[in-house]
Amino acid sequence: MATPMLRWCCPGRRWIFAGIGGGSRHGRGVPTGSTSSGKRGQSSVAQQPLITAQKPRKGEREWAAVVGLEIHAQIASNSKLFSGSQVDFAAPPNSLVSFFDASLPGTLPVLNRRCVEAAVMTGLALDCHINRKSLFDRKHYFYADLPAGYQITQQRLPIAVNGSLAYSVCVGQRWSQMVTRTVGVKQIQLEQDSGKSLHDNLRSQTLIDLNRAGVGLLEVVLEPDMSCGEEAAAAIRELQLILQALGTSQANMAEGQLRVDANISVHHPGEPLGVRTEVKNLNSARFLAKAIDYEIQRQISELENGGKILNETRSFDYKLGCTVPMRDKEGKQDYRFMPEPNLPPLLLYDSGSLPTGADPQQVIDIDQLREQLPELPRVTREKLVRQYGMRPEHSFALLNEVGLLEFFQNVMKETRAEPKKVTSWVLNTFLGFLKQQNLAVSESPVTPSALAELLDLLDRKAISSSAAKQVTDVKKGNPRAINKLIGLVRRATLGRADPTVIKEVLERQLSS
Amino acid sequence: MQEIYWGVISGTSQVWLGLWALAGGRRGFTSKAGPRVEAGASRRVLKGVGQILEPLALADFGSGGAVARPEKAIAFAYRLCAVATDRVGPVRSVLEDGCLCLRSDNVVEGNCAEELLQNSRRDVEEYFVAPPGRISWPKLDEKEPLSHC
Repeated sequence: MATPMLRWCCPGRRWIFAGIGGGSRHGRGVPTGSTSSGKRGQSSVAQQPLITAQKPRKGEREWAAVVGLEIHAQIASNSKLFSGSQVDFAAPPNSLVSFFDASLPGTLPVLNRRCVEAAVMTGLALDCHINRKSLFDRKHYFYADLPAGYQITQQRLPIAVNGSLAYSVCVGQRWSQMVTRTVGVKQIQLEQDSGKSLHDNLRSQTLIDLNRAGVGLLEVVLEPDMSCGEEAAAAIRELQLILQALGTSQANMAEGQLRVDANISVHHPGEPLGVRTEVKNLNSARFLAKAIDYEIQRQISELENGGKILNETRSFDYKLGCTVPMRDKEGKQDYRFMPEPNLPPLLLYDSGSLPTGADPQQVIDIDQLREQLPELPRVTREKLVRQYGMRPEHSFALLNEVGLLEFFQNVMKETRAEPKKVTSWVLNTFLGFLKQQNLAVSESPVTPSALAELLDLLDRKAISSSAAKQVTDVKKGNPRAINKLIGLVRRATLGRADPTVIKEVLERQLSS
Repeated sequence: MQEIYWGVISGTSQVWLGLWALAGGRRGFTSKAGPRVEAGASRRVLKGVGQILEPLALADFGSGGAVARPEKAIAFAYRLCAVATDRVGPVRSVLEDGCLCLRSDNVVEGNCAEELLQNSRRDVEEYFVAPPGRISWPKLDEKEPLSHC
């Protein structure tokens, strides 16, 4: 069976099915300008597509893909959405479960103020309209990790609607060619997380841990404004950075704090939208773009071969690198939504509508939250570009690694070297070194002061840049390098510096 | 049982209203049609809807007793439609004028695994054991990705 070759006509926008051609699958360039962090899961999916500007051959028609995303982010709070049990990732099974979480009779939900604030802040950061009145509903389905038999969510009238999320993608093969795109935020709603089920294969049974049951989630629904895996991954990455900057969610995909489902369809431009499939299980930053692109390609191939797309739910199989249908013989799920009878409407206020004499603990002021919003990543990057004359792609890279921006700013505080030089050293030498050693910024043996001092030496031309680079060699534990350094310093001081003194000074600096 | 009953009412009412809308909608409806129609209609509605509801609501529409209650509920729903409700919004919740109390984000409960597990027929090393029954694939697959990140 011939493998279809796909080519990108305009980067990120159009797809072509280039018929039978044999040979390899569509080539993907080696990830250049990759900004994936070592062992942390918080990387952007840096897959640079192979750009071949090709005119459609005769008989070939263009395809356009439509991608919408549903994101669930665990709210960073001490206690759960409707109960006072603790939120924690790792704890003995069923130890963080209250009577309400276990759905014992006689228990009632009580809404956590922090979760409402998190939802409002996220809505404000995404330019949403905050609904002054929002409602809670029950979504019914039976599963062992959902003890109540329903999930409390906000289906009819969510807390925030009609926002937008701006993100940047690379067009062209160089990292420097970035454009900003926008995706609409349809709504943000508060809902409960379910427990966890573990399949015990040995005894053919399913074990249930309810620690996660009832944890607050923000569901962010993005409009189908995206057209490929790369755009989706970039949007997700930016949302992650926003949530982390706000402190509303740690948004760590590896720890299940950020989960993504994609709705994907294809059609010919100008024609109506195609049947969409839902792809679940996109919980790895690295494979997100790959999974979405695979599904787009699968749908195109299917339609080109005269087949049909089923409105089904599929799952991404990481081992096989493809999407597979999920077995669901019961047919379409009907959640039988109904208003949550135990919760009155959630009312929010602004400075103009605050009820007089109200208990401040019981009232949420949107304007106050707006004033307290921390700086968003987009603003931070703009400031970096303005303040340091930095290239935009460098500002992205600095924000892409946990702790890197702070490190950079600390170096800048202590050095007289030019910002461009510092940026280059931090992003290339320093970050490269960390990647090689598989370390996070917080684990770096090189402190900002040390780097600042090194750059000062370099700036004064006391040492050459090759010598400076060898400092990192020494840090890696290469003793011969230190002798070489001593030699270089001696030369730089025209033989006047005492080698023993040099060695002492260097050792002191390097051991700090 | 209480919960399932409520779910059945709202589920069947919704389906019934759906069928009614198909048949001509609100404007054409008169109070005369109400009481007389329900006998046969209830049974017809229940037959179709019952097949869908059985797996969803884990309800059993097989026995006579199990069918009688929803039939009465559907009949009651028909009678409600005799009331003119144009330009009157429904009461979605009896709490709609109530005050939603907010709780401070403090940890005040939990840590009672032993007590909770006593409610379970079977447990394994502080995990509940799920009763046998349908375990749909979507849920099983959710556990895989953590090892692939």
